[in-house]
Amino acid sequence: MTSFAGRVRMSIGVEVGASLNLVGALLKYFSLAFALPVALALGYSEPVWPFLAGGIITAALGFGMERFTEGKEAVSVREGFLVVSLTWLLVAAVVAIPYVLSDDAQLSRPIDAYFEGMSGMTTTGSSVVADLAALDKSTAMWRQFSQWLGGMGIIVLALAVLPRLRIGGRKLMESEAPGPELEALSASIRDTARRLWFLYVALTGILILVLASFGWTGVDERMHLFDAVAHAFGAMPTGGFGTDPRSVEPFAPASQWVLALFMAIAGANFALLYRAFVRRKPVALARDEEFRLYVALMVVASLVLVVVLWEAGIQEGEAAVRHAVFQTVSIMTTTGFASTDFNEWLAVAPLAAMIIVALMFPGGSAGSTAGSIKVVRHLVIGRVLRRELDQTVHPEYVVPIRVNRVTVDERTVRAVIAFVLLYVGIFVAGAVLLLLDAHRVGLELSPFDAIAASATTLGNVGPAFGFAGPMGSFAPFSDVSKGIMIVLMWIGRLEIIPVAVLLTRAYWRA
Amino acid sequence: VAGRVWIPVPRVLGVDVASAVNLVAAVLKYLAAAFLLPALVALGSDEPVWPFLAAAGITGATGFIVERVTRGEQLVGVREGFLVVALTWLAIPLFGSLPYLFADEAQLARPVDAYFEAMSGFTATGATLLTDIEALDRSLLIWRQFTQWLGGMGIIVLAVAVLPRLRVGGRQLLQSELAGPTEVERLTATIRETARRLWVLYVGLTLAAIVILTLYGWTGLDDEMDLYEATAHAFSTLAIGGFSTQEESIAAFAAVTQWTILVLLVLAGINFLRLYLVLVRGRVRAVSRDDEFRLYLAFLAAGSILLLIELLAGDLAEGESAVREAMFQAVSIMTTAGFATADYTQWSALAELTLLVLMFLGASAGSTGGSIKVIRHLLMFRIIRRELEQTVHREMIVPVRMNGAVVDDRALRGVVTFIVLYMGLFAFGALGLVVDATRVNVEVESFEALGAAAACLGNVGPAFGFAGPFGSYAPFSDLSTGVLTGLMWLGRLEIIPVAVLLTRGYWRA
Repeated sequence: MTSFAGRVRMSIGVEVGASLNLVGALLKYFSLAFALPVALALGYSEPVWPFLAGGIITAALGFGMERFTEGKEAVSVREGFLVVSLTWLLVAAVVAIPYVLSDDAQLSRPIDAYFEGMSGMTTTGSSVVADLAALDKSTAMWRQFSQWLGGMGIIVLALAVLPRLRIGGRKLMESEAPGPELEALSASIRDTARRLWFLYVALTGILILVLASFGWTGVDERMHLFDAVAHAFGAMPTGGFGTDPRSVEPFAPASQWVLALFMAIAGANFALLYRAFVRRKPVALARDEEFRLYVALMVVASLVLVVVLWEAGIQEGEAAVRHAVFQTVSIMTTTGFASTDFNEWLAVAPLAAMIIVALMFPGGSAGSTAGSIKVVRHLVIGRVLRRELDQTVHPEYVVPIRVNRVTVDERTVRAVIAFVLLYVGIFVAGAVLLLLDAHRVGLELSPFDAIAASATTLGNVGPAFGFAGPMGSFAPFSDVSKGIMIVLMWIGRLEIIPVAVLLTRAYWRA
Repeated sequence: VAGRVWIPVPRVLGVDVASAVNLVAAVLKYLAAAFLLPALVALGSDEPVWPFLAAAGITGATGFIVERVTRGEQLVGVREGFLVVALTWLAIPLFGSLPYLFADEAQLARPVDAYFEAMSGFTATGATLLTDIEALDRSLLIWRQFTQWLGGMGIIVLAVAVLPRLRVGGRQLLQSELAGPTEVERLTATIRETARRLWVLYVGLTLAAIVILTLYGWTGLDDEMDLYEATAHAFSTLAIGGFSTQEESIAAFAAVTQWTILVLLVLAGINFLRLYLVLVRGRVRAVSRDDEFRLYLAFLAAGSILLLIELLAGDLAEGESAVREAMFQAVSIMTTAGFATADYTQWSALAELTLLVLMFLGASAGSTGGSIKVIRHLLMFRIIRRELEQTVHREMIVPVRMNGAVVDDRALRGVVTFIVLYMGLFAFGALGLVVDATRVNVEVESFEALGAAAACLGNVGPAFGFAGPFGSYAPFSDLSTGVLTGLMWLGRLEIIPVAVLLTRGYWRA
């Protein structure tokens, strides 16, 4: 066994064994997560064995991988790409195990289950489940929990792992995670992760309490403790899975406002939030250029949407403001909850529908659980363009790009540009492939729907348009299309480059 | 010197506006002479001559007066170049649209429409508002074709001499291929030298095309073809424009004519500097060893094959005509000409999608084609590959190469800037079209809006739906027509010269 791993290491420059070892260890810990749905299933007298089996298979797989690759534990930056890519592939697969094993017809096919698992672990929120009410309570909560766990993984990914791998200009964030670069990745990651997880858990706890108290006090009749927990699990990781087929529409306006606020918080940089809330330096928020642009974008988009909705006669009064703000925040932070069926806007106010699709591209802040391009990258791109124009006229004019008054080095700038180009390219390719495949199987899919579906999965947003709208489901897509979207969710979440790097020969060469 | 008093702006600005305007006026003066060709045709076919004479008079007088008013030291440097380029492509179509307005032609009687048609001509786009092309006078039609040919002459200078010097969108790559001294020298002198050589080539190729096509007419190979048609189509072919005198575009002509125009389009899509070396100096390697040329052919082949498969699979054509239709449409759309031998809006959704993608490739840099251009795709791909390699191996510093030579980082940044702006403008344009269409209740699907924005920004011409190759842009509202006119202008100037004018840094002393 070791000889196999040894041979692999000899011929290539990447420690595949060590990478698998780390992924195995992660899987081992992940098997503990199955305890929650097991407990729920016991409490609600629902079948326990799918979750037990899922937990056991996961643990066995984890132990197996760890044993098989024992002794190869030196993971460095280079292995990081492989670890990250494999982790999200495998964890999404083990999340899907209970879906396949339970009797639910909507998720019994492996491709559907894997889609749902990937959508959960990448905190996307796209779903192939058309009738959520038909799911067991334990299965429904497992879906929500998978997003919340995915969110934990993403915080580590966004704030500790990707900056070290220098993904798409993620070095911008590096100052937040101190420690020398060549240090073993795991040690400093653990420290950053611990601090931010504390914040994540605390915020989730507060949200559960607030929502549950609405239920207890009768502010929101529909909000039971189960829903409060489920929606906190869906909101904090900017995931977007819900418990009702109509998303959060059936809940009271107060709950919707609270959810909008927490989504907006979850879309902010967690390192920044930590400084503002835990270290009591709220000024840090006001001083951060990304945060300011993030808020400004949300305010402007909300205002435009209010005007459009009001003008088109779709909504008015408080409802117009609430729905405009809720949809803006939900889509821009890549959560994907919906307080109203915005798919219907397409016919009445196409501009509103287009704003929704456009909002899938800014994304939340870097260092949040949000997906998509991220606000800071737009900031950098804007400054790069302005500098380019200035330099076209004044070639002698050389100014560095600054973010938060700190100079961004040119290598980082280039990485940002490469990321954005790849992102847009993959988005277009995804839309084209979805259209082609829909055409192949004779599925009614307009180009706009295809564009929205590609943007929503790559950006880890969730709902799209047409049958895949916020109150619809992705079930009508063909298996091939589902496969395409699974890949889009996966590479979107990992910010493309870790996966793209694995495809280059240079990565594997010794 | 007296004229300086009229415009005191140059004193406070860093840009010599008067000199820039002066140069634009000089170009206008030459444009006045161009109206003679349609005037002659009008004489020959007993059509009203005065629209052209009046247009010539107004254009000449305006050019002459403005030139006098702004006369001075005439120091047009690189900085003024941006303004000259932007103003020229605004002013020329303005005066070029006069005959449309003066002539008694209902389809182009409104200034907005006439300006669209003229902009489409001078930017060699080929998008038309005409719903009944054949109803136009012969003289007006030949003017329409001629605007494209004149636009093509301007584009060659723009693409090969002006934009490289302005360092627009990585264009400086072409600079190394230019003989002659560099930036410090006054812009006008070197431009003139380069332009003269390439214009000879352009005129030569046009004449050859006219002769060949006319021969087809005389020998009976193509009954529809005569000297007039040959000239009209040679004009729009070499300019990669796409206007035709026929409602059915090139479908009105025989297969042999279609093949000939196809070959001419492929030629016209090659970098003229390299084409000059091959055809005039006999150095075939200038093209065969060129990275861009090889990729250009590969793209053309891939596009043709995809369309062919879709045509055969959909039973839309067969045999030689399937090959011809697939190749012609692929070449015509990718080189941004916009001719058509088949109504591709009747093809499958897949084929339409393929054509939409081809609209973004464009021909070679240094040709009269529009859109992003093959070389920028090549460099983009290499930039991304380098980025991925450097993500893993930080110590590795790999230069991006093109034809074996290292491309400097500044040019690469220019390429990226251009592409980002191009895609942004395309998205905004399409969005604007959809929003405006719902405002005025015109039925525009999102795909059609994407097509129209891509076709105008890329200077292709026909799009999809009602704006298809045998259709017209007429159903669009005036506002949309204005947006599309703006896109053609921006696309032709490669965006950056206009974007630069919007920065404060440009105007500061």
